[in-house]
Amino acid sequence: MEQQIIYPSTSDASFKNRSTGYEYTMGPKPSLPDEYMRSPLTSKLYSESLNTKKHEISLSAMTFLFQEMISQIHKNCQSLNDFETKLDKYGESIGMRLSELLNFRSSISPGTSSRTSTFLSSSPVVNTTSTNTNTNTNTSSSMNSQPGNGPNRSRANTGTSSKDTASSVSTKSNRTSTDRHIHHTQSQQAQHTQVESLTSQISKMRRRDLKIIDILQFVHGTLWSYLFNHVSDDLVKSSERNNEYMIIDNQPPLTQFISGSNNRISCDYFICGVIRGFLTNAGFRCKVSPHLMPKDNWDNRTVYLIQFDNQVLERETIRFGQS
Amino acid sequence: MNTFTYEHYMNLLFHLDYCKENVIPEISRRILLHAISPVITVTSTPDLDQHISEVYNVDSLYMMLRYFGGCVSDRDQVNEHTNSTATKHVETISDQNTVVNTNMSDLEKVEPSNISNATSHLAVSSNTRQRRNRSRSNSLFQRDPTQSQYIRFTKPLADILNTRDTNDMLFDYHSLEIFLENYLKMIEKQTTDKTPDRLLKKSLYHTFFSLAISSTTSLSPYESFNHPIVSLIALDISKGQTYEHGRDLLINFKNLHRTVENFPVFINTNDILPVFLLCFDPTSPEQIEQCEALSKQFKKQLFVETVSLPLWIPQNESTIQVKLHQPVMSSLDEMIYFTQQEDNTELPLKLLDSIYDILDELVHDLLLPFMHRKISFWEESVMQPRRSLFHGSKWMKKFISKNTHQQNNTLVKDANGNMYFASSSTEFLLRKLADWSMMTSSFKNAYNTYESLSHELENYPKYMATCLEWEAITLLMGAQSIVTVKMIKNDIVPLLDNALDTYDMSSMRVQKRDGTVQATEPFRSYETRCMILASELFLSLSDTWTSTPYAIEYLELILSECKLGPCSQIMIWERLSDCYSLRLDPRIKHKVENDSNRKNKLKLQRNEEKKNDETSNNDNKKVFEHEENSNYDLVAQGLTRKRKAAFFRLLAAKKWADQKQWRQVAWCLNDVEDEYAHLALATRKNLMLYRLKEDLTDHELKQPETA
Amino acid sequence: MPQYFAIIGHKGNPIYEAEFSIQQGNQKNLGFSQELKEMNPFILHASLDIIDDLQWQAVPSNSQYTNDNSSGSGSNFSISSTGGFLRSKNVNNTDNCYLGKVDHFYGLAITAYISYGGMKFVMIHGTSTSGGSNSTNTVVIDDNACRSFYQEIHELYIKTLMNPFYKTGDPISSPVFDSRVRSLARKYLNK
Repeated sequence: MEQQIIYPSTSDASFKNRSTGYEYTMGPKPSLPDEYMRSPLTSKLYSESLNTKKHEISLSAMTFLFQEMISQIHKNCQSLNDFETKLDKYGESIGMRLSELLNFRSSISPGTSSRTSTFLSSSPVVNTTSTNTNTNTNTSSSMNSQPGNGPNRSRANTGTSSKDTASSVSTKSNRTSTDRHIHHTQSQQAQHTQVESLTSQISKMRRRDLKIIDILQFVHGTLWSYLFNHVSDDLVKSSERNNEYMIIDNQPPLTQFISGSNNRISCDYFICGVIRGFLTNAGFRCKVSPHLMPKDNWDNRTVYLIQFDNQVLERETIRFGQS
Repeated sequence: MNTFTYEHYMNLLFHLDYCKENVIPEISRRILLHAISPVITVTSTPDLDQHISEVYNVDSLYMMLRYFGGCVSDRDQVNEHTNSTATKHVETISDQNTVVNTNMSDLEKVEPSNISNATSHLAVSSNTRQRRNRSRSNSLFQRDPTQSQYIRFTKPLADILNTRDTNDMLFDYHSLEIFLENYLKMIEKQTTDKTPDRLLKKSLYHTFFSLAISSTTSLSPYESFNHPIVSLIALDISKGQTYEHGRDLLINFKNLHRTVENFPVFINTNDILPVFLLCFDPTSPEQIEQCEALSKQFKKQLFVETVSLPLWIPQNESTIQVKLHQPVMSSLDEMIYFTQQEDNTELPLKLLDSIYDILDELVHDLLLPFMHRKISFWEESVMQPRRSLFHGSKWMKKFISKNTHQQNNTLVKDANGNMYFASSSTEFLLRKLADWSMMTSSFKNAYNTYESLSHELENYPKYMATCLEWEAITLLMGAQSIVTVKMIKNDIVPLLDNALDTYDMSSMRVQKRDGTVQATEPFRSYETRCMILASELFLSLSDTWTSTPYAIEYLELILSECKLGPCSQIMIWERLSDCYSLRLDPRIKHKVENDSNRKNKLKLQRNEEKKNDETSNNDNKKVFEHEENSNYDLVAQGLTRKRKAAFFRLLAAKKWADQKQWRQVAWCLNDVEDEYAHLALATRKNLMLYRLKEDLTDHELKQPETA
Repeated sequence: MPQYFAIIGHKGNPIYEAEFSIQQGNQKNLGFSQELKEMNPFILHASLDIIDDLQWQAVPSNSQYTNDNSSGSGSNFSISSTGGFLRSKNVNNTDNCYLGKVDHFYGLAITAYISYGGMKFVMIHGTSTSGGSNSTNTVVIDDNACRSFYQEIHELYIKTLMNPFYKTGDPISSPVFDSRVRSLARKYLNK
């Protein structure tokens, strides 16, 4: 299997000969007798804080990356349906990760960071100054504190928002490259291990969302703010079918430069995938599809239609009564 | 195909072709009704017994009649025959008459058989033939289980008393274990690893259960369920036995309390209905005449009713013989005896019909009216006076009952120094009233009586405990459809817990007094009976989501507190697994069932495909797997306990393996296969499941079987 | 007090497992008995139903543990599915990730934690006597330490997710993860 090439969850060849991790065919390993003496192993991946560090990336870099993705899929797909599914899948794996990450970040106590920003929490007290400055400079107004933002909010900051998307997407590739250099910096990492945990700043974990409306609020607010630096323009429940909800974006930043056969191919399936991955991973199975519905001045206004699986509704009825 | 009956289920091992049937959840109610059904003692003369063993190769009249215990209207021994003739052709002309008859009654079964309602029987004239046909029903599928009348047979009272011991337990843990071991051996012999085991296992458990809750030989001083109600006194007319023989036997019976040493104070032969059974040859007009004359004479001079059995039917080669099966319920010792040796009793079909006819007559014309008479008599003479006297005032009741107890202490010391209520004491009569109401399925009446009795037994914990136990059981039995969570919490569980505590207390007291462990065991067996019975009745309630936790609690108490043998314990472990698999929220019940149907279909499909082309078809399999994974049920999540059930089944498998019961191990592993199929746990070599599978294959390699 | 810890994926499959035991001087390893080692994954698997149930309750509560500590294994008495009783230990805490003690099995206690993505972090807490099924005294759980342990693991898990080479639901084979988890166990569980 691919394990020979690379340890899927290790990505760190330097440990290969020194110590082995969990092996699912073997089961749990017991504690070793000399475990006490050893200091825990470190790697860049696990030493890095989950705290947000904002690196603004230019919109053009981001959109170029996205376009390259699109063209790759386009080359390899056989049908329209195939294209959409593939794009959706890309988004899904991001959405799945975000459902863990964003909720966790939201749990960080307001006391240790300014409440205006959910994901710009300050570093732990003992943290190095360099990170501190990093976060401080980036403190900007967050959308999460203003969930009441209406659909007609001005869109002056579209540019920065897409940069944020870039940061979220590209960090991963950053990491991959840095991980390979891990053994050079190991001695420094050892000091780092003491401080990188965020748990000490959490007094109460954010509640898991159990109801459709709660988790949609989170998508509409926090997820959108994380991706685009603003909450979505509207969250609407369908009046016809009670398993349908709509999240509306007046000007989807990621696809704004993609023109042409916009009626036939929708590159917004990427965002659909993110939404779907996010919801499904949290236990709300659904289908998401984008619909271009221009209105007023917004030519690219897109409605993300979320259709929940009937089982999700049924569960809600059983667990929380008629809702 | 023939219908699946109560007897088929309870003796499923001998009817393996019914293995794929389903059994109703209320089965335990039926078993309980059977377990406390009226007991009939069979007394006969040595002459008659010898005659029987010569003609029919059965040791005695009792040994013959015991085959006919159970639900009278089911006529299960005849079923055997109708089943076999349904597949074969109708055999001989001489017996065609009977065959036609049974076929007719088969047709009539479709009609609602409400006529067997006990009260209406009082009014119905004794046209037994007509009633016989109409009341022939299948007790398993009857809506109202109280409509079938069950009976049990036992040895003559004198024999029971002579083998009795004061410290007799309701059942003996050790014998139960021996029985199980024997029964498991029989299973091992008659089945393979691939036999569908679900129903068979349930049947095995219920057989075990019925033995733990009932006994035809132990006479408890504290309750009257096993006390005989009818005493059959048999005479052989063909051997010239006459009025004098009958009279002497009756006098003997009536004088038992004088002649038997240590006759228990709580038995009163006046509360047992003597009935004469005249065995005659139907082809002899003189004998028929003699029977009629005798029955008149018995009635006139001894005030005893008579039933006549045409026992000596002339036989030839063409007579249809029916192989009898063991009765569903019997005493533990007899069960053990018959698991050890092959039983090949055959009786002519005609005789079976005649026996069922007279049993019908005995039960509906004599036994039930007798019980109702006694019940209303006790009701009027014992129950009513108290009610009107106290006007329901609790305080008055307490005050007065205390006084009366001081005045005339009704406790009597027996030869072994044990203090019992005498059979004539108010307390014991009330207990009998309640028990008999229970036996005749008037649960409301029984409940009221137990309830009122329990207030007066505060100073007698041993009596108190079983009284509370049965008070709770009447609630579970009577209000089956309206048992609510609140009722369970506020009424039933406190009663049961109180009963268990009281049992506990009395056994501790005995231990203090006697200082021996043995003396405590009788109460331990009552305690076990109480818990196993309660748990089973909880499982029969319709809302299993709420009721199973209680069942589980009591079963676990049994495991931790009772001294069951290893196999008996595993039976309980398996039952725990059943409990967990029954635990599903009523709101998703239909869903889970659909789901399992769908899964089974998929599995079948997959198996077929595997057969069709084993090499290629990987793609298809993947499609199926994908479908299963993406479609896992969100709604049912957490509203079932399937995984818990699988785990307990696995534990049972391990314990069976320790006992070297490999057939059971194989079945348990089959059962859990689906649950663990997609998990790495199943294939990991250092875990339980893999080890068990390995042990099993090792064992099979060692003992190559032809199966 | 040995522990068996596992992260369970959506299909009930473990994606990570570990066994922790205490070491005192030159004393022998006080781990689980061999019998329990063979059984632990199954015991844990059996608790998943209850965890699934609690997962979707507004106030996850297992009412049985407030009044009943008697023998036996997981007879779960949560009567109502919509909320249960407000008597639970973690009432004033709105946290519904940490579920506390969810089940028990003959002296073993089982605690659980659910991540936002529905990953189940489950742990069997053994007794120090390492006895088999005959030990009746149930382990006392230090809820605060346990909660912190789970939260730290949660954080580590999210970091694992951030690795592009890791796919959700795959076994976590990283030795660093393993070593981190073990040091957390020493820090919070086996002090």
